[in-house]
Amino acid sequence: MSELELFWIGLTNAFSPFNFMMMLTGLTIGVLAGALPGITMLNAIVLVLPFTYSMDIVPSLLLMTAVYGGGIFGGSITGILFNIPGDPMNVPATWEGYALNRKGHVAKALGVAIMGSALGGFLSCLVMTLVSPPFAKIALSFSSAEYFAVVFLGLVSVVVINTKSMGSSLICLFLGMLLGTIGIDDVYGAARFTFGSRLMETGINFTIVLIGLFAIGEVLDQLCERDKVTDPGLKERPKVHLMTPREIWALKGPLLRGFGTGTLIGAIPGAGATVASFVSYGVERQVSKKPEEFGKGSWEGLNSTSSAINASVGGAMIPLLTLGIPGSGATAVMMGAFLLHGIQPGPLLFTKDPASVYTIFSGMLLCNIVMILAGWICAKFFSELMRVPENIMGAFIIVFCFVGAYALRNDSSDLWYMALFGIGGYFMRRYSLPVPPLVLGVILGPLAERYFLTTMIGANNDISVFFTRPVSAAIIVVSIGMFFWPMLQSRLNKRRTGKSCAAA
Amino acid sequence: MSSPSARAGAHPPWIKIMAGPIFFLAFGLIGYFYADGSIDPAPPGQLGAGFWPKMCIIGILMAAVLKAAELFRCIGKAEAEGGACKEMDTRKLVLMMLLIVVVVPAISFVGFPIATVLFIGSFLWLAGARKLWVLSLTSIIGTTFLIYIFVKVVYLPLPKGDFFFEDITLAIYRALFIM
Repeated sequence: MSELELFWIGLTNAFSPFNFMMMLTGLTIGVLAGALPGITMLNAIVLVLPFTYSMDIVPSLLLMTAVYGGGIFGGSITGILFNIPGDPMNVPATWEGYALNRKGHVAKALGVAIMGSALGGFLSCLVMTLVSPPFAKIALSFSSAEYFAVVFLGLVSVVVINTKSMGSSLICLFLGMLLGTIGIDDVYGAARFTFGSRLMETGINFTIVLIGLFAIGEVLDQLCERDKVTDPGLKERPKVHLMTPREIWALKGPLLRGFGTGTLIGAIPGAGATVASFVSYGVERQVSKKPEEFGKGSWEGLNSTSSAINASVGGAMIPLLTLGIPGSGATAVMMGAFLLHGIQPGPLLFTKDPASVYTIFSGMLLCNIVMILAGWICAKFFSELMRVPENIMGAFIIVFCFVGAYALRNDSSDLWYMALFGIGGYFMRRYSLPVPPLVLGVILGPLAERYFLTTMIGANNDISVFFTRPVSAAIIVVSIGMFFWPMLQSRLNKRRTGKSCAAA
Repeated sequence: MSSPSARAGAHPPWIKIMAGPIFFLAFGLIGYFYADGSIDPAPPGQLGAGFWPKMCIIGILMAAVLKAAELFRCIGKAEAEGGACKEMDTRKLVLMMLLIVVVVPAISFVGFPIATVLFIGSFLWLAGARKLWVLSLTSIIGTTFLIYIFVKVVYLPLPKGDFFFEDITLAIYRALFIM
């Protein structure tokens, strides 16, 4: 049977009422779970896993992939509406989306996030369907040196987040990376900065840092402002404005770049949606014709990062389906579901049960289209909350933050961290210290350390290993270029302005 | 607190401008020596667990020097202050921060339901709500909704409190048909 015929059979299977219902249910659960701080997409996948025991493999995997795709996108909704990113991967969408919300563009921002995610996810599933096996082989050739290079590229994107003060950005980035080292070290098992406390040994979860810094800091900043004038336009009935084909065409560049970055990074086991989201945001800032808009509400930034996070889903499924290697927590749970149904993911899956494989492929493609509907419904529901008075909203945001922090490990000490980072977030705003680089450092710092030290152990501490492997060398050179380019660009601009002034 | 316009007009003394970088330099130096003394030494031929945190601290020190250089170039200019700041209600801010800190041990001690009702009510009062029915209804209905979502739907074991507060929390759960 040809691949096209298999794909057609898969599409017919995916359209069966039960499978379609599973997709819609999964997407709604995923979007809601992703949007609620503290309930991560991974929690949601784990929660639906027991319900799949009695199902066939196809509807159960469609349910789980729908939760995966919806959960990855869901965090952008609360990020855009309330400055609370549901997951770390939604942080860049929060930077741009919330800034656009404050400017009164909430409806369009939600629409761009929904369409960007759906289209990025759709395209990556198409790539997954067409080129899975060769793609997986390339991704598998990556070693820890390449992983470090990719994470390094993500860290360098700090330069593009805040070009106002490089010094402040770097202080916050390194501070975040230092916070990421608290607890028992992954590689050597040594305690660091625990001050003898057992509670500190588990380290500080980055979700607590990002919820505290973003949400509580923002609530305090908004509610304690003296003589505040509220824009009446912000209290109007909120809508979700989905992108028209013309608007999609206008933002095709960021969409395609986000899709490319997301699929590529998603396919690298261990890299995942968070790295994809930061890297795509950084890349977009570099190629944008309006880089000054980044951080203040950029449609390009929002579209690119939204596209990248959902494109990483298709990418992450490639090594799982073709080689049986789960690259993230979510795909690991999905692999568990495969094994529960007596199916071993890997190359043999394509020859043993091609109909199921192609039903999953076509189901995932369909999921991304249905996500527009599920995303729209959920975004409408959450948008209604925008009409709630600011003081009531503020009180509930703080309670949600506490519940979110507690839910991570059922540990009351996390509540202290949350309160501390919340108050710290307010003072960072007050003293013009940028919050995003600190969050970036806490999220990517531990990954960078693990890959760096693993590479060093394997290479007898020879740092040249990063430059002798072509892929890592190329990524590191691009990262260094990205780091210095804004400085070089501003000097060139100054010189050009100086020359034109002299000529005048 | 002086008005933003007044502050934008006057040039602050250099020590005030440089306070940030000086703080981070001092933090970095103390942190470096603490890391050096407290983290296990590296095994022979390896970088060890202390390598990465020390690199981060060196990064902070270098970034603080860079920030100082940026500010030095701005001395005498208005940008050195980081632009005009919003006027804040300091009393409200301090009380809200205090409430956020106080609710943390309260959640563990009196349990999530009671602590949340009290927190929402107090926070709303601080935020300007004065009508008793708004304060009581919002806090009670809101807390009930949260308990239903997180305890009943997501099975999250939220803190029930110590001593007799645990019995009160369990009674609330029973009254709400949660358990």
